[in-house]
Amino acid sequence: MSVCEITETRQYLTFKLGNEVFATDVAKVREVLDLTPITAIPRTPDFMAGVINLRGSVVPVVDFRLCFGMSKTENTRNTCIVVVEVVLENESIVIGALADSVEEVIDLEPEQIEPAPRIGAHIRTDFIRGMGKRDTQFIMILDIDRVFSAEELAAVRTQQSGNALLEAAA
Amino acid sequence: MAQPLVPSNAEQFKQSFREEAREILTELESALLALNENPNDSELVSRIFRGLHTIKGSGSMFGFEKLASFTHNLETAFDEVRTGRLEISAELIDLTLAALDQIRALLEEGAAGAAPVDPAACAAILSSVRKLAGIEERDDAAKKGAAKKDAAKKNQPAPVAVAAAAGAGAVENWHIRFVPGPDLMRCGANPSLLLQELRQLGELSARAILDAVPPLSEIDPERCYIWWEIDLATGAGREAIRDVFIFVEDACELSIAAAGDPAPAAQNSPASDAEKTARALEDGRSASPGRRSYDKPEPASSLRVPAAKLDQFVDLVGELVTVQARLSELSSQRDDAEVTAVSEEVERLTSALRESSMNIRMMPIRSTFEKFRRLVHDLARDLEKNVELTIEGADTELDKTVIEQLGDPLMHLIRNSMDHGIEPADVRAASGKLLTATIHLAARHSGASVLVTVTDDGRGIDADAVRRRAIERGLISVETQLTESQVFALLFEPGFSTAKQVTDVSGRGVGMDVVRQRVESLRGAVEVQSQPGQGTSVTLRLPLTMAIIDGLLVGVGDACFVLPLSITLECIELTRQDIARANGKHIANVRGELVPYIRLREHFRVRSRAPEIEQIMLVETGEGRFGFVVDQVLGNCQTVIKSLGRFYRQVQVVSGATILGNGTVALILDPERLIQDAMREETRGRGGRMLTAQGGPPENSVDFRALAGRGSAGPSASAQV
Amino acid sequence: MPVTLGQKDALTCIHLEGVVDIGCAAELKDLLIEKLKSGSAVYVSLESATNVDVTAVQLLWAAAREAQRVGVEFGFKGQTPEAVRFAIAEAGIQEFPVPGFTG
Repeated sequence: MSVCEITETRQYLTFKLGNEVFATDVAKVREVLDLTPITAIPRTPDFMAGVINLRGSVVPVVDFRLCFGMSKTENTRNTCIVVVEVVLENESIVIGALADSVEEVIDLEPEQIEPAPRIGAHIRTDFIRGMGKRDTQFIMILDIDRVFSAEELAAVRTQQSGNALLEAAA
Repeated sequence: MAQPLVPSNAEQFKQSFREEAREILTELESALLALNENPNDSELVSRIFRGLHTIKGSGSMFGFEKLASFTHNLETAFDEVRTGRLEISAELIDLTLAALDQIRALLEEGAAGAAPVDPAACAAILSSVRKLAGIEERDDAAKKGAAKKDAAKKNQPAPVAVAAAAGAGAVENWHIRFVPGPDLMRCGANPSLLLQELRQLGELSARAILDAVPPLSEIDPERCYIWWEIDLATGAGREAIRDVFIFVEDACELSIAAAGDPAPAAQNSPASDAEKTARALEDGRSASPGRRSYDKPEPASSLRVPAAKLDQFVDLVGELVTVQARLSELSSQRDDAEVTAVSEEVERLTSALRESSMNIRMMPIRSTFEKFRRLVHDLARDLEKNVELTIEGADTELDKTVIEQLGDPLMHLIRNSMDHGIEPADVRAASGKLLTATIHLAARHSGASVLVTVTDDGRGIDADAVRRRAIERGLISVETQLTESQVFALLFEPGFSTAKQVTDVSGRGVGMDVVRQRVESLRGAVEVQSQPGQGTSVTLRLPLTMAIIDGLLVGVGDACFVLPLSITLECIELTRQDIARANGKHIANVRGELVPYIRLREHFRVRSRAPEIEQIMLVETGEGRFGFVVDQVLGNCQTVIKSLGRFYRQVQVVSGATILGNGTVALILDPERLIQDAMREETRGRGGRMLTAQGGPPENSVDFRALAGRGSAGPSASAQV
Repeated sequence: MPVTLGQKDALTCIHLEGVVDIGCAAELKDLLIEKLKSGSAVYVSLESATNVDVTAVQLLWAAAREAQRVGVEFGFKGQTPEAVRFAIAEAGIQEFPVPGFTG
C-alpha cells in the first residue's frame, strides 16, 4: 500500500459512512443512485445487501458499512447507492455500494495524501490506499478493487457465515 | 501472380471460410469413420474427396497457403482411391484422421487462443500419406513430364506435350465459357485465381470479354462484368474442370464443351465478340429451366449470422418482454379499454416474437453427436475394445447455449462408458455378449425438456461396489440405508471413482462430478439407470431454452420469487392449525399422501409476520414430491432470466433473477438446490455430522428422502444428482 | 489503395498504390468519375501498385471508354510493374485498350 501509486492530481468522490469520510477515485464510479428497492438474496452474508434493477440489468449491491465492521446501513433520505466498476478475478463487474450520504467530488494533490496509518483507523487498513487531508478532516481513500477482491470477500463471507452458524446453533 | 488477391475485407472472408471448413472437417470425420465400416462405398470416397478439395481450393483462395498445400496431398491420395489405384486401409483412415487434426490446427493458426501447429507432426503425416499414395513417384514423373514439355515448347508448342504433367487420360481440347454472376466477387471468389487453377490442368488460353462492362457511372464496383472464353487442352477430364469451379458454381454461368461437341461452343462461329456478349447476357437473363437468372437471384434459403448478433437480438427481445410486462400491469390499473386493447396486442406480438427468436437459437444436436464418432473410434483403438456408436434423434433441436455446453459432459460420459462400462472382449465373450459393444447416443423431446441419453451395453453398475466405495471414502456411514437411485447419485460426488485401476481414459474420478456441475448450470438434471450385466444409461434432462422460462410468481413477506412452472403441480392451503397439528414436523397430508415441505419464510429467515393461511406449492422434482410454503401465489409470468453474475455465483438456491412489471427484481428459485439445502440444514439442526461434499445425501435425512420418494410419481429408479 | 493525386496544368494523375481490388473499387469508381468530370486530362499510374483485380480493370477500361465519349484525354503514365502486367495478362486481358499501358 504505497503512496507512490498516487502521483498525480486526481479527482475523488467523497461519501460518508457514519461520521467517517471515505473517497474513491472518480474513474471507478459509474453513477450515484438514490436508494431504490433492493431485493435481498436469501442465505447470503449480510454485507451482500441484494440486487437492484439498473435500467434492465441486475446489479449486486453491498452494504459498505458492514464491509468495514460498522452496523447495518439504515435507510435515510440521504442514503444512496454508489455504482462502481471494479475488477473481480480479471473480469470487470458493476457493483453498487450503499453509502450513508454522498458528499462531493474533490481534487487531491499527491502531497495531500499520506500513507494509511497502521493503527488508529477503525477499518482494515489494507482497503485503504491512503489518507487524504482536507481542512481538518481526514479522508480515507479506498482501494475499491481491493475491497471487492475475491480474498477479501471470502474473508468477510466466512467471518459472517461463522456468525450465522453461531446464530443458528444458539 | 505469386500471392493471391486477398480482398481488403479478407478477415471477414477468412472467418466464414474457417466456419465452413470446420463443418466440412466434422463431415469428413464422419465419412471417414463410415468408410472404415464400408471400405467399398465409392459414394463416401467421393464425398471425402470433394470435402478435401473444397478445403484446399477455398483455403488457397483465402490465403491459407500452408493448409491448402497440406490438404492437397490428402486430396491426391483420395483421388487415387477414387480412381481405384489405391485401396482404403485402416492405415490410410487413421492417417487421414490425424491429418484432419492438423488441418484444424492450421485453420485456427494465428487465431487467438489457438493451439500451435505441430510442424513435425504435419511433416510426418505428409510423408506417410505421400508414400501410401505413391505421390513421390508421380511427382518425379511429373517433373520429367514438365521437362519434356519445356523441351517441346522450344520447337512447337503442341498441347499434347502437356499431357504428362496433367496426369492421366488422353488430352482433349475443351472450350469453357465462364460468365461470373453478379455476386461472384462479393462471395470472395476471384476469377484470376480460377484461371490460374485451370492453367494447372493443361495448356490454357483465356480471352477476357469486356464488352459487357457498362458505362462507368453505371458500374456496380463489386460486380465482375468481364467474362471469359477459355480454351483448355487437358487430359484431366470434364470432372476436374468442373471441380475448379466447384465453389462458384452457384454464382456463375458455366459451360464446358469438348472441342468435338456441337454448340454452344462458340469458338468456331464467326460471331463478333459483341454478338457473343449479347448472347451470353441473354442466356444469363432468360429464366429457362435449369439455368439460373442473375438479375433476379433466388433468395438464399439460409444465411450465416455471427452468434454475437443473435445473442444481442435475443437480449433485446428479452428486454421487450420485460417492458411488455410493465405495460400490461399499467394498463390493467388504468381500466381504459383502448389502452388495454393495445397492450393485449403488444402482448400477443411480443409472445410471438419471443417464440421466433427462441426458434432462431435452436440448433440440431447433430454436429455435437457426430463429433463423438471420432472419440469412440480413437478410444476403441486405444483400449483395444470393439465399440460401435449408434446415434438417434440427431435432428432434435436445442438452444445453442445448451448445445455448446453439452460437449464436455457427454464426452465424460462416453469416456466413462468406454473405460469402465464396456468389458474387455474376452469378458464379453465369456458372458455370451456380442463382441462388438454398442454405445447409443440419443436425444428426444419430453415436454419443455430435451432428454439426451448415453447408453452402453456394458457390465452395468454394481450398486454394492458403489456403496462400499462411498463408505471407504467417508461419503456415507455404514448404517446409511440408501435406495439404488441414491447409490447411483453418489457416482457424481466429487472425487468418487469406482474403477480399481486408474486409466488414462477417464482419469482419476474427476469428470463425473463435472458432468453434474455442468448440467446443473444449464438448469438440467442427471439420471442414472443401470442393470447389472446389461448396461448403463445416463440421461441428461435439459431445458429447451436458456433465455426465458415460464414461471409461477409467489410472495414471501415483501419479496417475490419465481418457481419454474414446469415442475409445479398444485397449490393447497396451510393453516396455523395444520402447522400446530404437525407437531413441528414439516409434513403435509395431501389426500392421504405425506409430503414434506419447506417453509420459505423460515428457510430464508423472513422476519415479518406470517399470514393466517399460507399456501403450499407442490412441486415434482428429481428429489421427489415436495411442498414450498409461501405467503401467497401471485400468478404465472413469463420471465427473462438474468444472471446474478460473478458476485453471487456462490448462491445456490437462486438460479437467476428477473425484472418484474413494476421494475423490482424477483429471484428465480432453484427447487432442487433449495431442497438439498433444506435437507442439509435439517441434518445440521439435529446435530448430525455435516457433510463435506456439497449436495450429497446426508445420512441423517434418510427418512426425509424416503418420504419424498414415496410421494414420487412413478416406480422409476432414477436418481437425481 | 492509397491514392495520391498530382495536378499540373489541367492534368490529373492518379497514382494507385498497393493492392487495387474489390475492397477499394467503389472508391476508385467515384474518383474516376469525379476526375473525368473536371474536363482536364486524366492519367493513371500503376507504378506503385502491387496487384490489380478484375474489378479494377473493368473500372479503368470503362473510364477509358467514358473519356473517349466525352473527349477527355485519358491514359497511363509510368511503368506498370511486372507483377501487375502479369496479373492482367493472366486474367486473359491481352490488350489493355488504354493508351500508354505498357503491357
